[in-house]
Amino acid sequence: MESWVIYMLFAWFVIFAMMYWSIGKLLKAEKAQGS
Amino acid sequence: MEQQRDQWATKIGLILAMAGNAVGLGNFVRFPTQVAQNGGGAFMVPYFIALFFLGIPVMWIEWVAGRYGGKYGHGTLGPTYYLMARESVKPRSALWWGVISGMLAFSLTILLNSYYLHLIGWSAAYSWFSITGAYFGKNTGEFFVQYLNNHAEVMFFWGITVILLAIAVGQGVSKGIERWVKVMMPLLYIFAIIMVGYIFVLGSPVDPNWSTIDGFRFIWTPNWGYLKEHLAAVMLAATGQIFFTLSLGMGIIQNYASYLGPKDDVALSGIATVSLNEFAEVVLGGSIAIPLATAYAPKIVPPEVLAKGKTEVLSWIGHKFGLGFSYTSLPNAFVSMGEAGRLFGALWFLLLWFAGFTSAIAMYNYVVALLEEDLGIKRNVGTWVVLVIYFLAGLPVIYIDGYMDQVDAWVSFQLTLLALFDIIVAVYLFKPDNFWKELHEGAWMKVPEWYKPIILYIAPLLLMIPLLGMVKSLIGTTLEWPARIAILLMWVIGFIESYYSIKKKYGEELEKNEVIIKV
Repeated sequence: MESWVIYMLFAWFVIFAMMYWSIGKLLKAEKAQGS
Repeated sequence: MEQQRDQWATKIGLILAMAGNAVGLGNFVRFPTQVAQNGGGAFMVPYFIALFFLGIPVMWIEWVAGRYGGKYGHGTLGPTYYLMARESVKPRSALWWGVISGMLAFSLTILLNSYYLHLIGWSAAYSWFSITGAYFGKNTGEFFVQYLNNHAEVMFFWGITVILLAIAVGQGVSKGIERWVKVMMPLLYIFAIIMVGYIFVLGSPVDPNWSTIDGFRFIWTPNWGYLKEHLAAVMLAATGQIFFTLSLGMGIIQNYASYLGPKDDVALSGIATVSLNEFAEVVLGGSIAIPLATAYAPKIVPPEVLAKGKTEVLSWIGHKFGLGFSYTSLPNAFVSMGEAGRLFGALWFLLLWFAGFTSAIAMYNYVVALLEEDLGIKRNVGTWVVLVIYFLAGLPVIYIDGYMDQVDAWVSFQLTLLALFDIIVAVYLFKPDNFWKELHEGAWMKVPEWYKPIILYIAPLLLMIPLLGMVKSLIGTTLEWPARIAILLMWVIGFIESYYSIKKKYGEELEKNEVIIKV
């Protein structure tokens, strides 16, 4: 695999992970606050 | 002073509203243009640095500042930054920090909209051109230039957009439009994902030496030589794009955050807003226009430029068509789909129009709120005042060649400048310990301690490099007189507006030069 592909996939993965983590945590916290 | 302000019902509703407003033409139109103009992989390196060291911290700063201003009933930058600066300096000195920050935010919003609304108009036009098949069988570069030269047509689509915007804001139908956002935004994401899939398999539609994969390679191969040669310019472009795309440095984030309760989270919300927008920008926006421009370059670019290689070719398209980059590359993909491409293209540009329209509503609302809150101008009158300002500010874009790209270059600079003011006022003058305490007030996440030196030292340094490196060439060579006059005029109006807004509310304490109003 060419190095630019690894770089691209890594950048995409970091953005996905950040989105998944922050939105998940936000929803969890909001649910906990509501209950 | 103590007025009851609305608050957001749910945090996720606020995040989606912010993301809905942030996702727009900045992701699908401006980002690929900037990448192409600034050496592809050379741009992405400072872009990610700016995201991590500037985008995230400044997002936190603006959320903190907005919530702080909201406690005093303010949703605009001038009075909010006056209050924050007051923590370190006497009210009369704080006045100037508030006035300059407010001036920068006001003028920036108007300057940005002077051409942003044209991009929305272009999207409306291209939706029409797609359904009628106007660009089918033609050189899309030449077609775009012909369209821009047809001033009546440009005026028509832009005019409709501005008037619809004024009606939407004036009638207070923004809430209704937000319901549409919930349908249209996922649709835009789905369409964008389909487009990315199509682009990956499109290969080389014109010439075997020019494929969509080459476009991805152009973006994701760091070009150190180019970066070294154009360091300040590429850094400014990358930093400006981060602020543009995240709606930072305009006062909009502060305005949204001013409707938070005093103990509502800002730390995690800031990160969530950033990540939602970056997905739309890097993953989707970065995978559409550039790969298409690369694959169809042999159809758009003259042979002598084509012979110079991919970086030169994409730079040529980026500079020749400026923000029209996406409008010259995307139509080719719809043409390649045959008759179905007409419908697909029309829908894509319509969704793009809608994404831009909702972002514009947020900015329009901010300026109207500013006139209402700061100067007491009634909402319905303010709506039409802003319409006239937008109309006058947008006219030179139609009639003066290069004006749009000059103002856009200045917007990158001013966004970066206002971010520097964000740090000076909302962190240093507000006092770093106060800022850190405010950031963690009701926070749903603990910001790591190592982010403190980033905010205090690294971020301002990173902002200074492009600002100092570019100011001379930008003012001296890039900007021509019409753009310089427009910028100066907006600064003067912004200065007066901001000065009166603070003076009106805090006249007594400015006279005594002592803090009187404290929540």
